[in-house]
Amino acid sequence: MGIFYIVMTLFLLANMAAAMARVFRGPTAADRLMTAQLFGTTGVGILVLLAEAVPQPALRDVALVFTLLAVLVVLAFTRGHTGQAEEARSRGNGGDA
Amino acid sequence: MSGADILFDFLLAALLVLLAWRALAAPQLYQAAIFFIAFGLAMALAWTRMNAPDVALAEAAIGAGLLGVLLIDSLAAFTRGRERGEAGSKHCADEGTRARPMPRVSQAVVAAAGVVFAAVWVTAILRMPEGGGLTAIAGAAMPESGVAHPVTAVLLNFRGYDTWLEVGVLLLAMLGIFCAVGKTGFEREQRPAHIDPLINWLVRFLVPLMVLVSGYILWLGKTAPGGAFQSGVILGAAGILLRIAGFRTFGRLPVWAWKTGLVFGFAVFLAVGAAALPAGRSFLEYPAETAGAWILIVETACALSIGFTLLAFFVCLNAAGGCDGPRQPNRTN
Repeated sequence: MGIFYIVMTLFLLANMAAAMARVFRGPTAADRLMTAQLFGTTGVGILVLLAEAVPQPALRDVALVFTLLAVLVVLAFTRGHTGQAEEARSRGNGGDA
Repeated sequence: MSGADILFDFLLAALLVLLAWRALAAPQLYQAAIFFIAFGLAMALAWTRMNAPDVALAEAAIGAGLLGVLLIDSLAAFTRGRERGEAGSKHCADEGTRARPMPRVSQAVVAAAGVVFAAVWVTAILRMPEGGGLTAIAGAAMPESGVAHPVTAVLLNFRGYDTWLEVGVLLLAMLGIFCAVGKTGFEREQRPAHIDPLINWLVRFLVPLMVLVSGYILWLGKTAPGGAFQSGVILGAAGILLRIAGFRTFGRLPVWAWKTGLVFGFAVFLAVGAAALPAGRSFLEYPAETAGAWILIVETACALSIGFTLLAFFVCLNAAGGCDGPRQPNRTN
């Protein structure tokens, strides 16, 4: 590994370790989710750096898959929340008996 | 291996242990789910460090992408169950969102199993055959496999029987979900689509991209890390994205179409395998000249079916609404 890649990957990994404190402390669910997203973004950074450093071009595909699927969790989270209000409304009309 | 490499690996390993511990010890299931998603990400990084990009790709798709959605969505379903305020589901919603400490007996059993597993693992590593076991044999047979990537050659050709059964395991898991929650998820129409403009834009942008990448990963399996499983997971994720966003793309499919999609990969794999028998070859033995084409057919069928199965997991569990238990099985028949 070149010195640049070493320093950068180590820095990003240290970032991930530091981000753990935020998942642990929260305080809100959204904070924790954002930290998981930060994990993802940092992970993609590390993968792209490693792909150059090792070199292992396949890691770029791993980064690509990471990036594509990261949004799903956020969407599930937000839909879960807004979904509650909608469900409550439809139940008010006697939706599910 | 330089000192910096070792430092990186050490940090990563420490992070993994920490994440695993926090995921197990978190006081609330939501927190545990977030830690588990982060664990999946770190695990994918670890696989790349162990020179296993194929596994890293699968872990990135399953561990970091799909499992996260399943966990977060199931938790949302628990919360919905609580908001419904029914006596039965109130009890189970409370149980649902708070992680319960494990009973002492279970702790002892888990600890004992851990010790046994560690012992077996250490013995296995100590007894590792010199020269990488079957690597040389597999490498020598590569020209007959029909593909250029050794992992695909082993999974789809040399060890095809095993992979076929793995596709069957996925099908069995789906049957288990059918038994537990019924197939009402397939029959129930989504609530009238009210699609947020932002989400609408996101879906219209992302879903075609996901299908494209899924095809790319499938095709890549021939020469580089990739293949049916990873490709299928991305397809499934695209379906789940449509479903979460409120699109009714799969909401209108009849049940027989779902069933066909679920067994498709397994059936095509079986048919291709059996097609070798009349020609005097053994089960799943492809002729060397056309092996590449057969592998591609099997992989495409499996990718479609795996995507369908994962979407069905999501749809069924989502429709089960967390914890009202099984729905009346013959309500809709």
